[in-house]
Amino acid sequence: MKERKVAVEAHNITVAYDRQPVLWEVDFEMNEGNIIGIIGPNGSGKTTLIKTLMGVITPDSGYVEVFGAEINRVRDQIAYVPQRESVDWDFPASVYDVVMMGRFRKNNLFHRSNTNDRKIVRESIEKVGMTPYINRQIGQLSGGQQQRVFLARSLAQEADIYFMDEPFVGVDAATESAILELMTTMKNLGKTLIIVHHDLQTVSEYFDEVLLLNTRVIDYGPVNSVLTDDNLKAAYGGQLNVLTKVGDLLKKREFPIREKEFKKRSKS
Amino acid sequence: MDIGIVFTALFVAFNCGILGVFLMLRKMAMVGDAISHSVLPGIVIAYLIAGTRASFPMLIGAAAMGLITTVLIEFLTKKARLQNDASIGISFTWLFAIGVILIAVFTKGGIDLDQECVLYGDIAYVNLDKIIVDGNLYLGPRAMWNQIPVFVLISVVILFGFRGWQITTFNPDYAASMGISVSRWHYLLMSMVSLVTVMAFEAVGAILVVGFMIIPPATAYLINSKLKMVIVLTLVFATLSVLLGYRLAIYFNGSIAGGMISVAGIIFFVIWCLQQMVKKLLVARSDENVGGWLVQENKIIR
Repeated sequence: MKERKVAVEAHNITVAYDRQPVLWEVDFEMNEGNIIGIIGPNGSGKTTLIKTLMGVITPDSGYVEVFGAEINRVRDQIAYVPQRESVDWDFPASVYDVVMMGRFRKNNLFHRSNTNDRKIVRESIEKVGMTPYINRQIGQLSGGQQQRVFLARSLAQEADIYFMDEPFVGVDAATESAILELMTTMKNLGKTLIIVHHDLQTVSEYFDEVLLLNTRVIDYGPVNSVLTDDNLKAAYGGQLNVLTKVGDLLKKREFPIREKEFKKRSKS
Repeated sequence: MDIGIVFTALFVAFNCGILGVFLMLRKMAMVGDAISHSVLPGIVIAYLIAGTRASFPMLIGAAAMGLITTVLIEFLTKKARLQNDASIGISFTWLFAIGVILIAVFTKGGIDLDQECVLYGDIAYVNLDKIIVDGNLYLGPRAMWNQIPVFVLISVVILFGFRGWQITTFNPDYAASMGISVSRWHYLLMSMVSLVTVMAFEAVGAILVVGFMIIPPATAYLINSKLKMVIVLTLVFATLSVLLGYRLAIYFNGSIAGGMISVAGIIFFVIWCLQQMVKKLLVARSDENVGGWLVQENKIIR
């Protein structure tokens, strides 16, 4: 069996805004070829963490390495799907224009796109089923379609590690299954997917490994070993409505029928 | 028609319009207005150092202060966590006030430095400062010849860096994830805005600068198809405003700058009305299309 390389490692990362720590001594190593979920309550630093891993935010202390190298040397190997709400969708650009941004590189900004770029862009759009809308202005798309455009853009980057920030928020059922299908395909190609997620119900369905975050790393590992009562309480303690959800989740586990279903899903 | 005035106005309109497109998309449309006020202390300080009222040192002082303004705005937004519009408001009123005080302090000795005449030119008077070679070969107003190299500079920077402007304007975080220096692009844009604003309002007045920086881009943005088209349409609307506005001003024997900006505003409303009518027609014709589909999906989400 092929030995697995470490894809992303973070060592003692601390990030603070106005002296208020958002991430505190975060330390982990993520292996390549996995679908890894980063979960935690609102304001637990999930987005800050992936931005730090990608070198968008410089940590106040600690360091990040991607494939054992400093981030600036491996930029071409990472792709990013930002939160959908983080951009202005009224921007004058078509689906094609936005996906083409996936072909931009720091050192090709002053060139024009070549045939290969255009081919990859069209293929990426096809992969997410957006070809009928290729020339549509991005503001005229539904939420799910906009999310697919972002996915296509990250596919066009042809990277090895994909960072996705809440890709399942506000999307329709069709887009959700399209994203899941893509995730499986990419995993089979040996890609690493690091996905910020907040819905506890679906965690075991989507991910191989989970990093439970609340400013500090509560726990990191395979889904079943991380989602324990103690860990969830440590992460979500005090948030009542979330606690009931956690309760539901725990209850579900206690039912043998559900248990079977879970096992079936995690096997497939 | 006075060719000198019209061409000066055209180049000012092009320069302001192209940069205005990006300012608007970055939600910084009022930065041009801010810079046109906040450069006052720069002009006074340049005067104090150089000791003359020659326009070159003043331009340098003003352009430097323009850049300081954008740095200050950026600082207040990022570090003091203010809203962008509040940062703009604080920066330019404060710097303008400092400029006024500086003038008051240093005019005690009878120095003639009036902000109205230092700061704001009028396009009707551009012909007073002509470039004449060999004693009789008239090349046009100096203001126009100042704007042309700036126009070339802006065109080159925008054309060659088009992808950079596109990605850092639409999605700065994404650009940063690729290792693109977002702040370098930001300050490049701001330097150009500062340069254009300072050079233009010295010759033609602040209203023309601020107006052309916002109204033609906003009109083009209404039609909103592709970024390149928005820039091209901005140039078209700017040209229309200049030509029709000049005619209007001559007809009413009024202010030329006023006429041009009035026409720009009228074009905006005409385009907006047309657009609303077209939208209604389209929706009436195909109910099940885009609009209908969106409603359907919203139901699924909720």
